Amino acid sequence: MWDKLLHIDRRLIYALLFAVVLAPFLLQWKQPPQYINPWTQSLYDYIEKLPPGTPVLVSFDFDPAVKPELYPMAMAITRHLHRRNARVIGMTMLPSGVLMVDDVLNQTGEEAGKRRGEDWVNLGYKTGGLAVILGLGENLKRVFPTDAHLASTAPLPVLRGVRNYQDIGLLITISGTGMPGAWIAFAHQRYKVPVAVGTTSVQATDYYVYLRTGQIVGMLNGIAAAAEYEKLIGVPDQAMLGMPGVTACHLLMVLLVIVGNVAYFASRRHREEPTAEPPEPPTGEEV
Amino acid sequence: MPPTAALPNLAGPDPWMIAGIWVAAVITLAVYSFLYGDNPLYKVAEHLFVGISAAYGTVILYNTGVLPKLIFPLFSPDKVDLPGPNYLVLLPALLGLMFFGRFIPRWSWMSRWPIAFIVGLGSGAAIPVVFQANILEQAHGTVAPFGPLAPGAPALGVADLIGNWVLAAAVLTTLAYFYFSKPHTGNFGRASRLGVWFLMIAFGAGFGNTVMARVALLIGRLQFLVYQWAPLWWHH
Repeated sequence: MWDKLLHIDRRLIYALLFAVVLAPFLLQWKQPPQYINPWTQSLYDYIEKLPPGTPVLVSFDFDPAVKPELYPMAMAITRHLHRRNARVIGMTMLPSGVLMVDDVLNQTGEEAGKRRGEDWVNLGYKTGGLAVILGLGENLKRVFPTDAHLASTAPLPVLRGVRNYQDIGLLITISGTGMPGAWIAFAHQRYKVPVAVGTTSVQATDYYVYLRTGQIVGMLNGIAAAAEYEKLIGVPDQAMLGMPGVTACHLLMVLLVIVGNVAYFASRRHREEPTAEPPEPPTGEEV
Repeated sequence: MPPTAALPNLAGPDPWMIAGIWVAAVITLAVYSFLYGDNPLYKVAEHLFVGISAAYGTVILYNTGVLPKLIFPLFSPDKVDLPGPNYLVLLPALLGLMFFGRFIPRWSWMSRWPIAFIVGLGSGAAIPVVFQANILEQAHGTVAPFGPLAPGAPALGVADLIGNWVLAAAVLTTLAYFYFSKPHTGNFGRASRLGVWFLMIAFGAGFGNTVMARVALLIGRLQFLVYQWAPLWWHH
């Protein structure tokens, strides 16, 4: 029996996982976060303290591949920024992120009654990576002479008085890649702009070290932190809806790990039991 | 209650939007069919993804790079707020074109110049700040207070103190594990074995986070199927 458990068809596990994740949707199971991570709270508090009209650069460095994790936090953070009347300057370092920026800024701007060009702007994608980050430290409008819709950025009210990082109150990078590391090294370390990170759970362990040293002011770790942020701003949305599925899946994983370990040790013990007599020691004659 | 943003406008359905939802749903199911086994449906989805990504990336690169950085400064300077044509942009354009020398064996040497430029610029810009951000600052963060501070300094809790000690021990013992110029025996061996335990804890935390990340992706797709695709079935 134990051997059977150890060689269970993985498709059965996929089916179980699918059912466990789907069940909370169908059963309308709700589970608001009971605990707010201190790093989620610190980003929220930082934005709360920004004076109205502060320019905030948000780099939406993610594409549809990680949308379920990062889109909800992008929505929650941008909603909060609009509520604080910050000037939201959106951009992306990934070509496939352009539509993500547009989606988030259009929807949150419309909800908050904010106008494109006056309260927010989508600068779009610019190729160059490191050159873009360093260029923003010199002259933002030279790096982005046009916005994502090819309109000149020079006359935009949202960018009035914004020349480089010195005029930016906060830089938020939302990314499922190593991009936050580049923003921290080049934008924060070199130009001292405050940086916050929103990232996928896979990447999060890479960025905890920057919290301790104060190189970032806050961090959102995956869908759980997005749900916490939705709770903080009082706008439940996709992340809070998805959390019961995450919880159910984690419980299933814990169960599978326990079952797998018990089966492994039990089958090993079972195999060792029949060996009644130890094998004869080698006599040396065969050599 | 589904998130309002996730719901299609079924009161006045836009045929293009409905077609888009159907395409996305079919491709989602095609990709997940790989979990059962490799099959032609999955292959079609995979090839579609690669082809569309390449085409989309090219268009975006042209619109956000070539147009505002090369074409507008040369031919429509007013669109990028320039008083007149800026012919200096021809220099980086030429450097960029040299990359294409790669396709012709006789001229392949040309591509080395822009590569050398990028490597030189990248290294020069990166080495000092990356060293500062990832080594000096991190070393500074590890050297945290290990006992009561001088009078007047902010008080440290017991948990903070224990945390600081554990952090320092983890850093030193993990470094010991990766130090191969000395045999891992005696006290040094014990320290390196402790380092392995810290590594295992870090891998466990990483695995837990990875599970949450992957499940979040599955949840995102299921939210789409349940709240956007499924309503189309009962709407019709």
